[in-house]
Formats: sequence, structure tokens, C-alpha cells
Amino acid sequence: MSNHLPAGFESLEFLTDKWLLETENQRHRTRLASTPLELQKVYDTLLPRMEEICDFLDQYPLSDMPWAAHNLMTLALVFMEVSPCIEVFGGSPSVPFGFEPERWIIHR
Amino acid sequence: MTAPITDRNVKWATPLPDLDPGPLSIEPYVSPEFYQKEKEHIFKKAWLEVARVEEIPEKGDFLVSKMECWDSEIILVRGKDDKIRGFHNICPHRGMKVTRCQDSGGPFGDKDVYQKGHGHVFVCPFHGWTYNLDGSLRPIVGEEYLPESFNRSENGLPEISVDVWNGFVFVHYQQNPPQTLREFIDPLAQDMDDFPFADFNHIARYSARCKSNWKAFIDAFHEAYHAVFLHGRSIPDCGATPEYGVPNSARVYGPHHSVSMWANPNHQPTPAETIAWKYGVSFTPGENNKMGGLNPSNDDNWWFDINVFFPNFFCDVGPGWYFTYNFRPVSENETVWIMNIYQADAKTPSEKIAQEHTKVILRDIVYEDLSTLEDTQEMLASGVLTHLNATFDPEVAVRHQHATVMEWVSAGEGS
Repeated sequence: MSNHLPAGFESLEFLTDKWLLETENQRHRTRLASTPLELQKVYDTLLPRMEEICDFLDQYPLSDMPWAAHNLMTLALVFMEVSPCIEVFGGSPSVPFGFEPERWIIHR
Repeated sequence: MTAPITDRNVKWATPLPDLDPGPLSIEPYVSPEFYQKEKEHIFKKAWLEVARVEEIPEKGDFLVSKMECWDSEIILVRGKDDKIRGFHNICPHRGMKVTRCQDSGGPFGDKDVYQKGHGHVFVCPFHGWTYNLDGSLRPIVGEEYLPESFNRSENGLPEISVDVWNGFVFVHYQQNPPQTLREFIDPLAQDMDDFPFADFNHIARYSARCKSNWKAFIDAFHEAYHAVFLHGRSIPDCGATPEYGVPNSARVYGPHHSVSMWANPNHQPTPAETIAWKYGVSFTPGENNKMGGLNPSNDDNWWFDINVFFPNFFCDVGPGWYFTYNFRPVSENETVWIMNIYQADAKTPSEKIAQEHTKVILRDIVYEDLSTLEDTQEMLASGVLTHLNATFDPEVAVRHQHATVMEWVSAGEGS
């Protein structure tokens, strides 16, 4: 397995196949195209590590992070992206009864 | 008799105008004729927010924006003297657009919002008539063939008025507006002046084109009554706490108004929210860090302020973020909606992760807000109903907006 993440975070490595996505639009579109089970897995994997991730990343300045740390931060942003699906939308990838995502433009 | 939602009354921090407590006429939401009157008597007579100064930071930067409410398209350009000017995008020679920007508008661009460009002059693609960034017409090839009555100095780009408040660029259709921008937006603007707008970064833009009247669209965003039901999923305690439906305080300033939301002191954060509040600031109710320009009526259990600049601009401010909405009418039943989110500069990676929560939860909540609009518009247009039954205190902003529109249109028709 290739190492996209800093040492100590190997157990998250399987997430990097699909979720190393730089923009909100990419993360949101990927969330919409995922199954509730996949989202649950992402959430359950990252939630218990989130504080550790935040504390680890804070040793670096935001503007100058090593590549692997940057990838880890991207996974933390993915956690925030999928969190409403699990915490409030009953697993649904899209917002239940919300506006159509295809017509909702995310400009970045 | 049912029990009241709450024993807390809305605190009126300004005198409440004399609003008709009766049902609201539907005609302004569906009539093409009424919309024509709004264009004439509202959109050509009010200051309209269109951009922030950071969108065109360098001399020669410009943006081009559709202004359907003027049946026009405008250019906003930063001149060699650093001043931002505005022009209709039309060449006084034969009417061609003087610029057709091909640029997508950078990372936040989209043709529904605006396109961006950079240049030293504007050259009309039809016959090459060339204009300086201040709009003045340069010497023309073939000028000797124009009649003697033609005066180059009188044939610059048709100018519109531009003024800036706290980095927000407003335009006015008239070259000599009856009020300055400041006169128009005070004292609402005064209440917000201490908010550190300059310290914030633009972190998201969303937009959608929606088959909804611009006022019905706005009405979905300046009352809290809907939150108790519509947002019962995205903000779970909203559904269980009807008190959310009654704002803490409200202020009415001429055509503008401002409403402060109530925050539930017993709000139970989700795990993601808890992380966001540990490392930074989220959108959900939490700690008020006493930033200036917030909570103008010093409410207890304050959440955030909804500030509505008549006719079609919102600037909602909270502790560590603000977001704006522009509602650009396209016709009586279509609106382009644009949302921008701004956050205080993240100092650390964890703060940025916390900010992501603000953005994502806010976005998903607003997905719910947009979900009712087209169904409502379709049925308003059916003609089955002639009037709507808005509540008074919880939906006072809806009533005030409706009354202001009626007032401006009838004043315009009467003059």
C-alpha cells in the first residue's frame, strides 16, 4: 500500500483511493455519488481520529504543510462534508427533500 | 385556544412602521405587468449591491454582469486612478457590447454571476471604437465621416453610479441618484460598521437559477418561522423547539430591516459540531465572541443577524463568519440567486477544518430553503388564491418587504 498519509495514520490509508479531493465541489459531488453505507464507513473511520488529526496538523503552518499532512487535512475536510449525512440526514447522501443538487452550482 | 409559541416577545428596537395586518396580495408575486413596474420604480431607483472590491483588485481589472432588472449588462472596472466605475456594456456607435469577456471569472466564476477580465482599454469588437477605463472615447478611425454635430466627449460609455460601503460595491441606474449610498443604507449600515469585513476571506460561492419570483425567494430567508418545520432535519433541535420561530429582536430602517435570531441555550451539538467548536467557529448556535457590529439590540441567547438591504441584498453576520445573498430578478417568475460565504482568516489547520463545518452545514440548510420555491411559485400562479396569510411578529420581515414594494411602486405610478 502506498503511503499518502503521515506515519501513525496508516489505518486511514484506504480512504485515499477515493477521497483525496481538493475542492468542495469535488467532495460534494463524490458524497452525492456514494452509498449511505460508504458514507457511514468514512464517518465511522474518521470521527474517533478527528481530534488527533487536528492536534497533529497544528504543528504545521496552514500555508506550508508537507504533502502527507495536506492529504490528512483533506480527509478531515471530507469528514465535515459527509457529517450531515450521518448526523442529521439519516444516511442520505443528498439533503432529503432539498433543492436538486444538479442545479446547485458550487463555484469551487 | 392554543398556547403561544413562547412567552418571549420580539424586541422592537426601532418604531414599528404602520403595517397592514391583513392578508397579502398575491398579484406582486405573479404578475408580469407588476414586475415591469418594479423594474421601473424599484430597481432603477435603489442602490443595488453587485460585488465586493476584492473581485477586481488591480487597476484594469473588470467584471461584466447581467442586470436583467435593467434589461442591460454592466461593466465594473477599476480605473488607473484606482476608482471603481460602472458602465452599461454598450458601444454608443452602433450598440454592440464593448466587451465580450471570454474568461470564466476565475475560481468563483460563472456566467450567471459575472465574468472577469483585465485590460487597459475597451475595444468594441464591431468597428474598433476604443474607450479608456474611465469610459471616455478615444480618437476614432474614420471620425471625419461623422457629422459635425458629433462630439466625442459626449459619446463615452453610458455611465452608472457606483459607490462602496465596507468593500461592498453598489450601483445605481441614475447618474445623479437622489440619495448617496450612505444616505440610502443608513442607519442599518451604521449598526454593522464595526464588523471587521476587511479581515474576512471569501471561502464559498453557490448559485442557482430558480423559477421563483424574487420576493417569494427573499421571503424564504428573512423569517425564522419556517425553521421550526423546514429545518427540523438539518438542525434537529429546531423541530423540537418552536421558540426558534420567533426572533429575539427586529429593527426597521426605512425600506431596510434587520432581524436577530434566537439561539437555543440547550442546543445539543452533534459530534462534528463539537469538534468545530473546539477548534474554531461553526454556524450552529454556540459562543458569541463579541465581535463588533453584531447583536445590535444586545439580545440574550443571540445567534446571528439577518440584515436585509432593500430591495435584494442580504448580509447576515455571525461570530467569525458572514454570508451574503443576492436575488437577481430575471422575470416575474425567475430569479438568479447567489450566496457568498466569508470567514475570518484561519490561523491554523484545525481552524480551517472547523470552518469547513460552518460552510457545509450552512450549505445543506440552504438546500432545504430552496426546496419550496418552485412549487410555491407554480401554485401562486394558478390563480386559486388571491391573498396570503402571513403571521405578524414571526414574519414581520415578509410584511415589511411587501409593504415597501407596494409603496415604491404606487409612489412611482403616482408621480
